[in-house]
Amino acid sequence: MMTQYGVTDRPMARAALTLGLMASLAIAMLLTVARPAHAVLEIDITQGTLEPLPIAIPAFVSTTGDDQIAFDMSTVITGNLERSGLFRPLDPASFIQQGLDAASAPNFAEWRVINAQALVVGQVERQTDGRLRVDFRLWDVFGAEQMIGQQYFTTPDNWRRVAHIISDAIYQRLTGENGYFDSRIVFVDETGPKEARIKRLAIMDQDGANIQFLTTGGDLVLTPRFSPGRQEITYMSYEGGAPRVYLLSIETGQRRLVGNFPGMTFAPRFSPDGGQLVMSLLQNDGYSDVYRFDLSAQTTTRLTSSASIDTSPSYSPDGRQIVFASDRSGQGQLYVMNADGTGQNRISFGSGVYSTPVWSPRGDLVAFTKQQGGRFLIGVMNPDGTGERILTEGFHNEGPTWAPNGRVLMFFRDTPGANGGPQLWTIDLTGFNELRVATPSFGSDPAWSPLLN
Amino acid sequence: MALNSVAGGSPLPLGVPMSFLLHAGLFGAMVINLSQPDPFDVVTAQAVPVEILSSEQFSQITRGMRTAEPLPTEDTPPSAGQSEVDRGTATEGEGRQDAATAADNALATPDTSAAPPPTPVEAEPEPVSEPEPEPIAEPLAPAETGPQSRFSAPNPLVRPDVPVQPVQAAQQQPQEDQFNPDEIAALINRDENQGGGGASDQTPATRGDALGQDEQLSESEMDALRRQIARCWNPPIGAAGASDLVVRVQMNLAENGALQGAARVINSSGNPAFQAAADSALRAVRRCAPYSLPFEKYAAWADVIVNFDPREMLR
Repeated sequence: MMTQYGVTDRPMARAALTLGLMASLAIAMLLTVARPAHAVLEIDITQGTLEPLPIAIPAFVSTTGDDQIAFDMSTVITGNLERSGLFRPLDPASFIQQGLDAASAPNFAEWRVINAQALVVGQVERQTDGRLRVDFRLWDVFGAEQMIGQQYFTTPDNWRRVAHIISDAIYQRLTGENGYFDSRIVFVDETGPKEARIKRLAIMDQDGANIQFLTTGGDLVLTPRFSPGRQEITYMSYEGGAPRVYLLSIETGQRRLVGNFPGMTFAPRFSPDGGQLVMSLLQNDGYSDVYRFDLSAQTTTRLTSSASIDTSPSYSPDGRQIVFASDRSGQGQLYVMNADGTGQNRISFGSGVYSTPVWSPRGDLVAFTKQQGGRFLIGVMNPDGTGERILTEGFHNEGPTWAPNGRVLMFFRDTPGANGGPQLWTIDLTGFNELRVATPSFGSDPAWSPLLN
Repeated sequence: MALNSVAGGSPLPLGVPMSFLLHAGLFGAMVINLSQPDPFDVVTAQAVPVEILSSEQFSQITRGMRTAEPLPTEDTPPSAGQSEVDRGTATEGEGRQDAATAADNALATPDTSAAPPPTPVEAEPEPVSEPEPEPIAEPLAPAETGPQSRFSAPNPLVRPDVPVQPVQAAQQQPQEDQFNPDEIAALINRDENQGGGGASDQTPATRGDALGQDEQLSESEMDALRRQIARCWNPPIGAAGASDLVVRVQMNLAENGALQGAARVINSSGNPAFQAAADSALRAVRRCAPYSLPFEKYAAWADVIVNFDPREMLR
């Protein structure tokens, strides 16, 4: 542009040229600058508020006299969602619209006023055949639209299960993550004085309801684990003096010894397809190694062989890898190997003693127990050992187990003192939502089932 | 020395006029040369109000460019060509364009815009006009609008158009979807978003000053808007692969800051948790409306795209 100066000597030409320049400049500006200036305003929101979603769950209604079941169902759903830490059920006293049934559209303005972002409406009707028909709808209050509408038929005594299924549907729709409410917990129920504890295997719904005892308490039982598919658990029992791994059918109560090993076997866990068990087998030299036992072929494959204690194997959800704990480096650390035992790699390098690794059913994390300077920690890390995070600390925290959606861990924590004993707790991945799980007496060694479906 | 003595010998007759002429010439040259920078100074002053164009606006510009990148470069030539072609094809074409711009006002809508052209039957453009709208319409408008408009707008009316016309048709599609006389401003602005050349003509506030810097929100005003939305955004936490869950929401705002029409999600993802993320984003913009924004810059925020990006939060 500067070169233009010398060329122009006549005012007219100069003016014309200047004008032309200005015009072309203006056009250039228009093309480059003006376009974004007129374009849509675009902004990035990278910070939101991590607070539980306010949700209104008015008592379900019934026109066939099943008000109690209807009320209980909404109570169970409220409890589930609240315990997840991701929802904040609003106080029913604040509800303006009352008696809303599943067939009519809510008055959204009245729910917006109390700032409910979601609204759950349900109705329970007894059919002529005695069964219950449960209708429920999840409404988006601010969008004024239905997010879910479902109908279930069930026997009246199964209402709790339906409430859990509805809870899962709501959870899944609003969080984008699978639910975990329609699941069960098997654990070791502990009663009696500290020196003479009676330990029984017990099973209950994830919210503590419907508790049943699976063993009589004659023998010491430890580390029950769910089969991924069948209604079956594996556990360790001291029946006959030495600890051995057993299988137990939940429905029939039938029990059988796994394999026929010379030494003691412990820390069993199912493979993701349920066809195999991995466990530790004590060797003559006092060390233990990881073995795989094929349940149908009844064959055993040795996976590790080191002069150290290799234990607590846990499969990745794809069944290709196994994480386990070993003290081969001097103290307990976590290792990952291929399912056939090859490629053993240490993944934990922090200070302290790592134990009981459990691969998340989502595959993205490994939970573990860690002892460090007298502290008992439960944490998670990526399967490659990076991103270690401690979620909770407490007196003798132990035995993490994953909820089926890989978002919540259950574990047990001791209480000190002569009258103290272990209790079940849950912690979610944020590390903030820690809750005690109600059990009739002391409880330890929880194992979370997959979703019941 | 010799020259001096010579000059001294016959001093006045030649020397004074020469010097006068030279000085006058020099002065003239200076006047000429000095006068030249002025127009350019004026131009720059008009073009770049530096004190306003601070870093945030620079970032805003780049941000705008980034998203607009795929579209405007392709769009501008067609829209430029559009008017030329229309003029070239004489009255009929002009009428069409007028109708099209009138249609942007949504009152006349596609019917009138499409009505004039049909009579002249030009067989040749047919194959051209049909393939063209798709590549343009798809990246711009949500997928549904393409087919929808093709069904709703009578085909015979679109076909005879010059190859350029499909661009206009594509621009009109969203209007046909959600035609609502109350949403005129929104429709205009959506047009703008799609890079149509005619759109900027219709935002009266900016037409006078092509550069329109003062039309942009300042960084603090943008921040205020961000805060208003962020406080209502409750992203689904802990979902697997949350980093894929960036949700783009487009919303049109009325002059009082209220939502105009429905806010909508304009991207998608294969992530099963995307639906929940999209819902949370929509809830955020709905809950927080109306937004408090400077009224005098309405043109700058009438149409907003909000990118909800939870990656930093969930890290």
